[in-house]
Amino acid sequence: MSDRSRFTLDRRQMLAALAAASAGAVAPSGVRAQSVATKARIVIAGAGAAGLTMASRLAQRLDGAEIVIVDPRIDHVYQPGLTLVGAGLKPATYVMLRTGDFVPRSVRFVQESVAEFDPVGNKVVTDKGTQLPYDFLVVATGLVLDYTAIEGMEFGLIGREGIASVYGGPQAAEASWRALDVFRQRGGVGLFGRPQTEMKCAGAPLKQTFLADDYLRRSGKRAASEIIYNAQNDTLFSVPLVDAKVRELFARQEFKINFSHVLTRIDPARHIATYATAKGPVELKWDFLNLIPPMRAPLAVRNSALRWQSGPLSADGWIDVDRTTLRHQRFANVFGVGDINGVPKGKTAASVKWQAPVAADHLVGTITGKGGTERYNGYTSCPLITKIGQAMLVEFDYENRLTPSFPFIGPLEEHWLVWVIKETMLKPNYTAMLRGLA
Amino acid sequence: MKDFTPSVLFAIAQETVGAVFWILVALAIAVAVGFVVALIRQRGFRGPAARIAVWSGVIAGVIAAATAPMATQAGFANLNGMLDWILLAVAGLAAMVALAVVVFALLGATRSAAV
Repeated sequence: MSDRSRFTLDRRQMLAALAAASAGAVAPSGVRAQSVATKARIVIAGAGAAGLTMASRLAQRLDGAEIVIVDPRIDHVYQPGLTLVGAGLKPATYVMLRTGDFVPRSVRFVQESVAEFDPVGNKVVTDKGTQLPYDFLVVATGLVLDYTAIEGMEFGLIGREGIASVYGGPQAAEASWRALDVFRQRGGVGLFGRPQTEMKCAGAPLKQTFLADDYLRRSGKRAASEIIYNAQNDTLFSVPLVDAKVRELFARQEFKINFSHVLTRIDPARHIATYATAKGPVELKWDFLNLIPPMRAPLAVRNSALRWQSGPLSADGWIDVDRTTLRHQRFANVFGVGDINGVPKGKTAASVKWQAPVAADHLVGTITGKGGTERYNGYTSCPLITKIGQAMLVEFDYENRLTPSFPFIGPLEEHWLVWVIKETMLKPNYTAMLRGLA
Repeated sequence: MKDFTPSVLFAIAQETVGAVFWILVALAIAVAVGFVVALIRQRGFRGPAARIAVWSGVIAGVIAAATAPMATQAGFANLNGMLDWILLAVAGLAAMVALAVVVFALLGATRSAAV
């Protein structure tokens, strides 16, 4: 285990001592709850935001459990920061973390990829052939980006021919900034939009449009440019109250909107994007193309019995969990956390923050026999940047109700304060979450 | 943005600052002790030490308030509504109080009160 993890455990002990010493400190759920003695074997598939958070929380609550976390990557990306990198506001290193810094000492990190899920046989098999039997499985694989589903597109094009796509990672986000930088200096036609599939952070396509617009206004090229947003259906956002506000802002900023336009192919040499529409294919020329790929579950999950077998979430392999307890609906010893879940809302880091304690509660409750009591209500949060220096704090649940965390911040108001929260507090909040401390 | 309890805020503060967190805590304690010593030696928040502390605090507060938006890669045009102006005021006030306390602690703890 790395030195940093040992240091972290000392800090955590000191933190617990200080918290206990300060009068009236309220225990956050799960962190200082009674520890449970067990010999359970738990496999966590994936060491992203969800996997690491679950590893930390389970390691804190379970005494003696054999916990294994499986992920081929030793680098961990702070994904909420990618939009800032792609807008030239932070360097690529801002989002680059190391998985090893966050894996608890008592958890074994297997640096391989899960190739097969066998929930009937209660084991996973890795790409190296390693068999990992389990008593409990936490599926936290996240999703995969399917760039090649768009004909003519491939990962290496990001940053070239005016194509931006921050989802591709830290280097892709930096390359995307270079493309945006050229666009703001020259102006022209900017094409924005989102895929038809489920996606992580449905607010990002909108934020990226607002940021490009702000840059063009600052460089004086906005009048000579056109910003076109191609919505994949007849809304800009799935929450009606937020959708109405976004339409108002889009009108204010003079964006052109095409509804029900789904990107199907691009011609990088001619800068022509083709969209499927109700009236047949439509071609649009771009100087700048903000391309967000279709997203789906990783192959190993799609090929497994864990996926939804029918219904609206079955097409892309998302897993069939109960929306409030996050327990798999057919395999009681399997839980899902994060983007992989087939639930109506919640592919954001903030959703992971709320989902992890719930899944952990029900998993531990199964071990103790007392059951779990916590419920996930679909909480999703989106600090919707509307220009450099301002953002709206949009938070909502499964019922599309707005659920503000801070009662004094209006959810559909643009504030510098919300921008400051996004710029200064969210990353430390995220890393504290990975350590099971927030 | 779920439960911002004291221990969660503490964890966030630690994550923000990183390895120097405990050094900063030690410094803060040293300043607090120095402030109390200064209060004793100066017989209250008074005298030349206090005057210099207040003036330097005010200057720091004004500079902090004037530069706070830029420090977050924003501008004054982004301040929208009472909430943002309150944040600006808090930033200025925090800088003012912090510098005044440090200056008074340094000057007041190390010299005797003027009669």
